[in-house]
Amino acid sequence: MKILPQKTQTNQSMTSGCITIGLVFIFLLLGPLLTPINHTSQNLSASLQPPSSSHWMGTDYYGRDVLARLVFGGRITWIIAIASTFMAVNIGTIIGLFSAYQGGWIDLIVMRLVDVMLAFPKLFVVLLIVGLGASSTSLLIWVLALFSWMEIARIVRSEVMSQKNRTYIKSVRALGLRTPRIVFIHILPNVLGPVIVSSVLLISTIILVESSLSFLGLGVQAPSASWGSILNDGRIDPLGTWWLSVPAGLLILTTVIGFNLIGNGLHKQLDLKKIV
Amino acid sequence: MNSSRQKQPILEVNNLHVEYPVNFRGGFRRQKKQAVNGVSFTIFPGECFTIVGESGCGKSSIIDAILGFVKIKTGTVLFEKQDLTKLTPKNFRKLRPKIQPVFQDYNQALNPHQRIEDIFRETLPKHLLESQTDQLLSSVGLSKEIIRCFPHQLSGGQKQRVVLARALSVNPALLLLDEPVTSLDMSVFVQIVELLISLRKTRNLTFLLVSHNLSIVHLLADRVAIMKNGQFLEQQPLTTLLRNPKHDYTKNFINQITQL
Ligand SMILES: Nc1ncnc2c1ncn2[C@@H]1O[C@H](COP(=O)(O)OP(=O)(O)OP(=O)(O)O)[C@@H](O)[C@H]1O
Ligand SMILES: [Mg+2]
Repeated sequence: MKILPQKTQTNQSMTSGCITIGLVFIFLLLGPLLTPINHTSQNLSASLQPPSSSHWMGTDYYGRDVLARLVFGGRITWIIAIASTFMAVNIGTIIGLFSAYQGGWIDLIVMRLVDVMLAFPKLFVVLLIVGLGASSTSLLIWVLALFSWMEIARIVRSEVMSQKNRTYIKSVRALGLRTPRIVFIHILPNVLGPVIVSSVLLISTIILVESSLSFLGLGVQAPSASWGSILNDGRIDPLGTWWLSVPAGLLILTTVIGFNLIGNGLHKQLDLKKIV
Repeated sequence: MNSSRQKQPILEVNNLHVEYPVNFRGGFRRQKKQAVNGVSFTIFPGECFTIVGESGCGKSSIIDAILGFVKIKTGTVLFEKQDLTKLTPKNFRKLRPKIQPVFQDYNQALNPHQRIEDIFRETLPKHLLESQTDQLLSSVGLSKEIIRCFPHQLSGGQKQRVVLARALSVNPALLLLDEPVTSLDMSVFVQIVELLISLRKTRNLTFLLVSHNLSIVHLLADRVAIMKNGQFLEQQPLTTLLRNPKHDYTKNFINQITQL
């Protein structure tokens, strides 16, 4: 393999994204060490207190420790985002592979379905469904996944279309290999790059959607928490109770930017590889 | 030549038409491009039938049609008397190993994520894997050190040899060689042609060769078809064609050969 001069340049986007996400991850992992207080234990006499030595990040309306809630809520936010991204990527990849390899009218119908689903504003549909049903975390994960797989399916499909007529696919077809083998062993590994990039970007999209839902009171329900719901707690007086809104908002922002940086970094990395 | 004429044909292509949809300006009106326009030929076991013609005349489309990679508009393709166009996908898949293609772009012919040894794991039976892989690699002049390599770690000539070994691993009767040596440099070119000549003898292979490279035609071809705009202008044994060409187009082609 030829080594390109660009390869020696560090991928700044990637590095800063990894550092950002790494820091947030460490915060979520080791957060409980910073505060021994349970995130649900209430103390109404200590309601809405600004940061102090006993509560480093202050308390919320019910006197619960905000730091503990940020750690716990962050874990929920991350788990929801990663779980629904994982599901969306699986659904999208399988549908994209299937649609492209079958071709013909099956492909046509599946892709029109994707178009229709993409035409709905994601937040609106998710809002509608979650608003109608009783919201639980697992329902939230499902709904977010069911409205996020389409872009992945599109990417996979267009990649498979471009791989399908490559010489090496023709060659293995001519050997008489079975279709599932060709699709999963020969095509899939060669379309994974763009899928990984868009899954990382999808994580941050889903974090934003989940935060918006929780902010609107439709996502994660009390006494559980997510960054969006903590942001919501500080909604009434965002300046007066800044220790509720600002840290939660910053954590959402940092995480979203971090995942986007990693996504862009991966994109660059994979583009470099294509030239080689 | 004469003895092979008395045998049953291995491949018989009759009145083959292939067309491609062309989307013209946004594409509401579907246009069709005729790539192959009524081609017929017969290949007998052991011979090398060669199609020669300028770029874009439809040579690769014939190969894709035989392999079932493009839809055949009309015409039949009989392989050992079976009409490939009428086989079910499952039966076609079972027959596929008998007909193996070798393409020009050896850089694209191997899965970049697959080690050489894994290529053969897909086609050879497990208990014979090691011995047969060694045997195949040595029959195409490769040492067995390369089995742990990925394709990008091999040279062009080595890749094309791996492609040949992979094709041979399923015991084909007919090789479809689409410009097999055109993009190799001269010394490798000669080696691969010599390899093809010896493999044809030792393994009783039949070749359908497509090339506009005149030296390989000279070295390998038994019969030659001259193709232009999706049709054959004439088909002759190479020697007859050289002595007694019918078309001006063919004469031009022969002039180019004799200049070499
Ligand atoms: N997938 C396709 N879609 C549309 N048109 C095609 C397609 N493949 C080939 N063609 C057209 O069909 C004609 C014949 O193509 P083909 O590849 O068979 O030519 P060829 O003789 O192999 O040329 P070359 O020597 O350059 O390989 C060309 O005009 C080409 O543009
Ligand atoms: Mg061609």
